[in-house]
Amino acid sequence: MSRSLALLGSLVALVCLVGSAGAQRRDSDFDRSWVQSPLVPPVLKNAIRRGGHARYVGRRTVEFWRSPKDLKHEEIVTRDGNRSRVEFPDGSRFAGRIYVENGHERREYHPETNEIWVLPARHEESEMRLAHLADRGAEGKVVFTTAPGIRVAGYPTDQVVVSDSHGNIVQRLYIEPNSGVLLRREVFDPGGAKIGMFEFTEIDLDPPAFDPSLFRFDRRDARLVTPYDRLRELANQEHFPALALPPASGFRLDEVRVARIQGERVLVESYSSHQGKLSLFELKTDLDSDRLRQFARGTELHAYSWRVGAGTLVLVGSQDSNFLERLASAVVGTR
Amino acid sequence: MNENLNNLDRRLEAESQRTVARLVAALPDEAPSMVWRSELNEALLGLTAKRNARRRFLLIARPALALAAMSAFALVMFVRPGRVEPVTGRIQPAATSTLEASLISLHQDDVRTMDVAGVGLDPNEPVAETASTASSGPDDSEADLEL
Repeated sequence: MSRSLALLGSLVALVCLVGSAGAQRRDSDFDRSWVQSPLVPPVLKNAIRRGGHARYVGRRTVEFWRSPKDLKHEEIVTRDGNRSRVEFPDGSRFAGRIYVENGHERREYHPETNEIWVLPARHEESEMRLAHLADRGAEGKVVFTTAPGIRVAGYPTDQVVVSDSHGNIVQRLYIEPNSGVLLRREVFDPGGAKIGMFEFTEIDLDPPAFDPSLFRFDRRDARLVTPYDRLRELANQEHFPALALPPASGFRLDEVRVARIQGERVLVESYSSHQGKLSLFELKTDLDSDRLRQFARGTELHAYSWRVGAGTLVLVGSQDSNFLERLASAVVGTR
Repeated sequence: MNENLNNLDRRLEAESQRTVARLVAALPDEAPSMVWRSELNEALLGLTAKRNARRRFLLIARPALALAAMSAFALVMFVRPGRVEPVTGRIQPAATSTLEASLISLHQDDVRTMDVAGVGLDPNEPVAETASTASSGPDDSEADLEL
């Protein structure tokens, strides 16, 4: 009886949530503040407008300065609008992996385990984040300046420097002005250290028509794995309750991992949606909710935490606190 | 030689020399007084006592300081603190030293990472080796699949 009531409560919360989602800014609308804003450079507006229709095939170097050993690798990227294919060159530690997106879903083939991970498509989210950035510029939360860019993969670029309101550089974008394709991107942390970048070393911006099969991946003997499967496996392994936001919430589970934070093992669930990224953390201990809100406040983010048994769940995202609180009631078990 | 000596004797016996000798003999005898001598001795004894005390102190302090310095060096070089377990895939800056701040920071980092990764590799994915690289290069699977 109590289980039925709990389920009913979650369903009601879900309905309210979906209804209130309209009150949140819809990232897919192009009737947005950046469209008319003089604070957003034309080259960036062009990149956002045309980015969804770009066609190219190229090779890019991607580098992250996040771990004790730098993660640098090359990718071969084929793109046709919202469809894409990413492969890794021979000799790469990721050689054999294939990532395809058909505009609706993403499939990642992992040959080492003969698994196909079925995930939410990322392409649209990438474009929405660029539009988010432009919105923030239109609202004065970040500042855009333009300058001549360097030649990237043989093409001249326009550089867009993104700074916060204090003048700290947060990103550099190098955009090919005719196609609007982002050929190089550098991302910096709050202290100004470069934490990641990609750069195309070769690219064909006018490729011939692609065979549609390039953007599909099916393999009969491969095991299909969804992020919820991965959540159940990890939760079982690490003795966490397998709790998650259901797809009906509008948030799609993208990635699940266990991280060690301040000596605590934390189950990290990353979600994507039209309303931006969201993280759900599961901890086996308590934490200070006031301190959590205080730290979030300084970053334009919001956080909401609540106890579940002996553990704690935390939602962190750019959505407002009331929304996060309502979202918390939609978290259910996935078993 | 004898002639030179005779000359020297005659010159010393000269009236002028005898006059000077008488004058010098008539000078008062300036031997220090006993009181002064006593005070000087006491002062010297005081200095000696201080010097000895300082010597005794240094005799103990110098080896003790050297021992302390060597112990500190040994502590720094050979005693390992408790194993620090970094959050896999990221380095925590000092500003995020609390659990609460670290969660916020991790979310922010994940967002920034996706700005770079786009439709490509997510660096948070486990980095198990593919079959083509299994026999070459270091094995990262254990460290990363620990996630």
